[in-house]
Amino acid sequence: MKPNLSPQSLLAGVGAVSLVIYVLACATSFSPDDRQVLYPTFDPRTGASSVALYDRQTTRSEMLFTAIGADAVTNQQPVLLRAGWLPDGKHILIASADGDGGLNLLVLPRGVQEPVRHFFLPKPDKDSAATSLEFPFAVAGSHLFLNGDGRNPVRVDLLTGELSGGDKATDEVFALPSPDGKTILGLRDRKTEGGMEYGTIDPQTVEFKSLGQVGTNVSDGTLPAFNPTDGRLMFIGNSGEQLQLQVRQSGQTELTRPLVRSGEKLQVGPFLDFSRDGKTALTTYCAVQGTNKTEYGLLEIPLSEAPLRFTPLFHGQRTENAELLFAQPSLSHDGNTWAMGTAFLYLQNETLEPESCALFLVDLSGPNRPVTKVPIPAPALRKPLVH
Amino acid sequence: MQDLLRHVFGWVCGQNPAHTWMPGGEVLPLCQRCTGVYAGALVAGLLHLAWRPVPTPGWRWLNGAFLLFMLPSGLYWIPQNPELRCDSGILFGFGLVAFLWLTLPVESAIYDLRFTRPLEIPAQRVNRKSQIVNLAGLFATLVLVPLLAENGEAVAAGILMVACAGGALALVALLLANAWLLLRWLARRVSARAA
Repeated sequence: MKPNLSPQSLLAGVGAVSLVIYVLACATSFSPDDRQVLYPTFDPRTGASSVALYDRQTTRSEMLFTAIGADAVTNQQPVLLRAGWLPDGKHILIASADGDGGLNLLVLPRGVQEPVRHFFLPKPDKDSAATSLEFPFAVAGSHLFLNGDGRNPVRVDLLTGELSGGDKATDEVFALPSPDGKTILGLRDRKTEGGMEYGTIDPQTVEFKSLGQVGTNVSDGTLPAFNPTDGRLMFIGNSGEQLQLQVRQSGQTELTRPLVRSGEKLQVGPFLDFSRDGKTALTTYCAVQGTNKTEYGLLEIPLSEAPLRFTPLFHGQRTENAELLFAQPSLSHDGNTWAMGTAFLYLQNETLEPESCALFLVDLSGPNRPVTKVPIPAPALRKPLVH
Repeated sequence: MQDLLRHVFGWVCGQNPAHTWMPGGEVLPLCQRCTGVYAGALVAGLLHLAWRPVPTPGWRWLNGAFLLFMLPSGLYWIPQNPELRCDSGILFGFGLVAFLWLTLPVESAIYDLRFTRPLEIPAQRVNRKSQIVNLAGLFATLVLVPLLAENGEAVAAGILMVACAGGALALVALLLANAWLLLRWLARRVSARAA
């Protein structure tokens, strides 16, 4: 067997290189939100709630979407928006609350030639609560899982608009995303026993599969985070007045560590992220300093005995409710950047100054924590959100 | 099995939901273009195994054109729809197999599967038949894969998944064979220089 190496070998090399180029071009090698960050903002001309895209290489922002909500007096009523990348990295999903409790969904293609898709989901009945937009999107493939009282979760096919779930079998299971971008975490209150049951939701059947339970000490208004690769669940718990981070695996408590800062009262959460190496939890914090000052920023909680790390971002006046639910933090896919957009936090928390209205990017890659601040034009009139 | 394929193909395909078929409600683990590439590679691999054409200059140019067609198609220089995306992938898969098979020795084809034994009729005629069979296989694939994918039956999804897995294995085998031949050639050159 004598191999023929030329010119056949050159052509075979062309074939191999073509295959490599094709695979690299087709596969999502990196998610765009590692370079580009979606964040809530305001239209500088009208003050309406908007979504912008910040490019970290060019340091420029591009306004993508503005939700004009008519108001009799001001002509503007800010509405709650949430924007996120779909797992394919080629589409942006923007959800905006409708004044009547319905929901608008917009799927914007990025880098692919497709039409923009718009879906409208009316409120199922007058007694139902509106869909919760405060929480991050739970998406698997082209399926979006939405949470709202009486229809938890409802699944929306972002290609066809088909709705499913939301019946008795899936009722009151709260859907949340997982770090892998594929698994859907499900949370269900245990009404008679108390506490909470956690597990996964099958994206195809919308069936809930229980993986374990946590007690009644989950801090109100905070949300657990689940890592599907190792089955760990972490949440902010209460021990009396003391906040603590708890990590559970296989039904057992793996770690409990108090969250304290000397002489200051802490509020943390409600969203938690696992760092990409799984060794640290990241969340937002608000620390009351003295009698009338508060500090907001990123809290890194090592899942070990190492000390807590606080990265301050901005300050405000003392408040009993920091409204951290509206901070919309996010961790990049490479785990090197943590971002927080404060447009809606600024609307809800009147103790904040216009300077705190910004997109903050915290670089986690080195020993220091350099912060990039992208200012958001605060609206002239601060009105509470429609959500 | 589906989850495994989705995971494995996730390394080589963007799995864009808007460009993915769902025969019978089953979401394929590959986008339409990649479905074409791997299904095409399987059919082309089987055809080369049984009716390998002699790589005449015309045959090489034709398969080179199949590879090049990915450029205007993949970059959306020409209008696209699901069938065209898939068919551009099939052409690419056929071109890949034809080029990657060029270095393989003649023993890597099963000549008994030709219409007749090569020695009994002129080689040119045998090659013409091989080319006809290959082109007929290509046209059949161009028509059948999109038809199968747009079929409402879940069994069509199963067939396509198996075909894509087979095509991916065929391409991996061809890449490994070429890598082995390259290493052997390099080793011979090194030993010749040392001598």
